[in-house]
Amino acid sequence: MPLDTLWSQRIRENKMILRQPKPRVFLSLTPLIDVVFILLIFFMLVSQFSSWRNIELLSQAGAAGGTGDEAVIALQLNNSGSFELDGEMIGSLGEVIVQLSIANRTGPLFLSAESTVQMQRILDVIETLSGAGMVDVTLVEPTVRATR
Amino acid sequence: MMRIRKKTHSHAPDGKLPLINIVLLLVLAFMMAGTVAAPLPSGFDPLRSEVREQAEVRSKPATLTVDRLGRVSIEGRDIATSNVDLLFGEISSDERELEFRVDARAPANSIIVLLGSAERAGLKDVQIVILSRE
Repeated sequence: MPLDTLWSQRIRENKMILRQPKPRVFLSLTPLIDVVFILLIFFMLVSQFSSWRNIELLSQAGAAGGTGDEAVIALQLNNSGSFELDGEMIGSLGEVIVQLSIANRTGPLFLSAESTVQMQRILDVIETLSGAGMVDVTLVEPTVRATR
Repeated sequence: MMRIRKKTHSHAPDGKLPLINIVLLLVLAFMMAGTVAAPLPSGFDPLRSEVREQAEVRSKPATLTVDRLGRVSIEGRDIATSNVDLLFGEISSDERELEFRVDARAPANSIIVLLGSAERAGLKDVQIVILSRE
């Protein structure tokens, strides 16, 4: 074989070698998608979008006590939904507020409840009383109420 | 001369890219907008109120949960009623603060008694966690 033919063949081979495509590495996206889905499910389960707040409720033990100048208002929630204002039975909270405003009484209010009254009811009553201007509300334990 | 065009494989999964984008956006939205918190007991119905004022926010208070039957638990651990005073004493001596997470249907008197016990144990300004009605 003539030398120039041999050289041209070598050069062609080299070119062919150079032209061989490099093996390309492709990353699979499937594990990424799996991890992202797991993260999504985790955050969906543990996230809370509720608007929580903290409030303070005064109980008899923590109450500083009245000034002595104002008479304490004793209000009791009965199981039936009625109220007792200083021992007098009253049908609704609206009537209680009217009676207190007529008597111009805004002094410290001791709130107690009968055995089956639910906590949400107490909170609703405190909220209504607070709206009517009676902010000095103290919760009274049943034992304290019995000895009063 | 017949030329065979080499089939070009597109290895980028174009069909999956919008899905990945949306899922990543959802993850980011949940991470940013949500608050990660310990789950509430099953069937727990929180107290709700329209009250707007927010008591002073504390860092890591002891959270006492009271369920609808008045049963007390703290950080997932059930506490016997007879041991509540002891628990309040420990929290008070650790100078931790206390908050109550109360089921709306819980008997009010049991909460009032617990509040009184906590304050007698020296835990001042006990807070109750409510869900805003807004």
